[in-house]
Amino acid sequence: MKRLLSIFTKTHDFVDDTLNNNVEYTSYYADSLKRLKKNKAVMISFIVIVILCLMAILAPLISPYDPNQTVLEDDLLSVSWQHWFGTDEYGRDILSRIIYGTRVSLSVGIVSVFISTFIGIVIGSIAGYYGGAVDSFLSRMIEIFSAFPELIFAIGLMFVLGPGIINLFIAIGLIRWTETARLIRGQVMQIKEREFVKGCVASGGTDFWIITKHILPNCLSTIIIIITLGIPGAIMSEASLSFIGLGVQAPQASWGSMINAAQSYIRFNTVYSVIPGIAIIITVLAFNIFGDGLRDALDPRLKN
Amino acid sequence: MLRYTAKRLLQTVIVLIGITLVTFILLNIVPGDPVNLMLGKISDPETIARIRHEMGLDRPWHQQYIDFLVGVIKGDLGTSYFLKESVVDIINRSFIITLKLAGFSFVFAMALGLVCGIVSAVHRGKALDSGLMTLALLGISAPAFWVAIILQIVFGLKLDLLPISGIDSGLCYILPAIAIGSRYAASIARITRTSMLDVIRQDYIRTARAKGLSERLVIYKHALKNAMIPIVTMAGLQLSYLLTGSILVETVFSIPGIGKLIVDSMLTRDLPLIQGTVMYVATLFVLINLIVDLSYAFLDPKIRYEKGD
Repeated sequence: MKRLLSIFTKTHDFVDDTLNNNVEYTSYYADSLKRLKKNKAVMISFIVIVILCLMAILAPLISPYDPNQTVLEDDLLSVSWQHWFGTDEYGRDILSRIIYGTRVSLSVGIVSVFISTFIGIVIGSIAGYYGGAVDSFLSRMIEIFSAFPELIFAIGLMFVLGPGIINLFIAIGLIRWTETARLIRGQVMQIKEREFVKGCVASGGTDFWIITKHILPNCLSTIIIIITLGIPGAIMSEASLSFIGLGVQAPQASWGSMINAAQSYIRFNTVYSVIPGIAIIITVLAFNIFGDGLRDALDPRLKN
Repeated sequence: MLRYTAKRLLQTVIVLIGITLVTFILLNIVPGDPVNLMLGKISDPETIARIRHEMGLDRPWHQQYIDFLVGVIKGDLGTSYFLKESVVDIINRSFIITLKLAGFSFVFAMALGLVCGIVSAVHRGKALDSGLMTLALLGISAPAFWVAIILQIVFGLKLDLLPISGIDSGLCYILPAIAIGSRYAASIARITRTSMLDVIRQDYIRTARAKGLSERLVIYKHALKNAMIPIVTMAGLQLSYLLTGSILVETVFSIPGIGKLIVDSMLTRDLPLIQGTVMYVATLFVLINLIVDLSYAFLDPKIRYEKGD
């Protein structure tokens, strides 16, 4: 009997609590964060990402040697206490070059994804918002650019721009915007049909105001997912371009260019070619797992 | 179907013209005059002017573009600066090699990916499943060129089992095919597992089990057949992995295919060759996508109606 009654008292409590502000409301993002924290693999990958970022920032402090200092008589040394991962063909310490390589990978990964996301958002929201002829023109443009295989387009751009980290930002930023544009276009097309946008149009909001203040904030979770899942792809593109020799300028250390150099010495020093690859795998894996977890947390419906 | 096909074909033509334009613009703003590069140290202005005229480089760019377009339609992509050979001939020769390599890696990747995906789905949540899926995640995150070098070290140098460069025998294709296919296999395995799990939950699978069919028959005849649609789509869309992989891996194994051709022509700054190869590969891509889309629309009428109008 008491239990049956409690149904009524509970509703009563709930009304009371709401009136007295005792109920804890959590926002959509707080909920997502709670879901994210429950996922162990995601938290581990997050810690790995933090460590990688610290390595990049603190590189001069933690690397045992100057990454570009050549000691010709110490070339291709094997693993030892002095040189944990040995030395390369110029006697440079491989561990130090790996640590400095983190800077190239992470900065290219992050900056180029921000560039591509920005381009994608601008083109996607214009196409989705205005529709009609603007949309078909921009959609054809998206199709043309996504017809090029990513790596070939990047190779072409780097060939035109020349080597260097700034050019890597630009080239990789310019190849990866099509997917973003397509996703944002679809979302904007849906959101612009909703009442609050119609209300905004009726009360005389300008197009720019409506897109930036009312539509795009509703695409925020998609944008966050695009950025996190875009980073590993961009890191892989950088490694591939550097491997072909179209990446960073010569003495600067990048994981891809280290593998390229190590290729000639697989008979003498195996560790040299293995280590940079493992660095790439760890970084890409951490971002992939984190991105997948974030997607599941932000949009639990997508989880399978 | 006819309407959808017509629409899709028209789109493809527009995209192809766009590709020629982008390729042309991209490669005609390259710093460094190709004639200077070609002649090297001989910098006699008269010779340079004569060769520029012969190559048609002194005319306005829109005329050059139209000439280029006419050439493309006729199947003439110019002559390589350094190899002094028709670009189309060079590309055709290399393409056969890349096609062979891609074929091997496709077969390898499909076989491995499907088996791993099915086994994972059947043993869902067990150690075998998590082991295989961890491997697949590693496969997606490992750069193909690095996998290639590791294979060279293990099977070529340490075990001395397989050749690590050239294309002298059929055995030479094994390691590059594995290196190129590893990422593709991993992604096929993941999609197979997801798709199989979706199907296994359906009522008709329960019915099949309830009427006493053997587990093998349920999985291979009833579940796999229905799970194939997303797998085939994904396999088609991700054929690009094979191409991207071959660009990087052919250089490692010194295989004279399209990938090595692109990298080499970049290094020697052989403009007609770069232009031709990029165009060729991009066109190939568009056509593969067209075929995948059309066959998908043929199989699934919903797509025709949704995208057709």
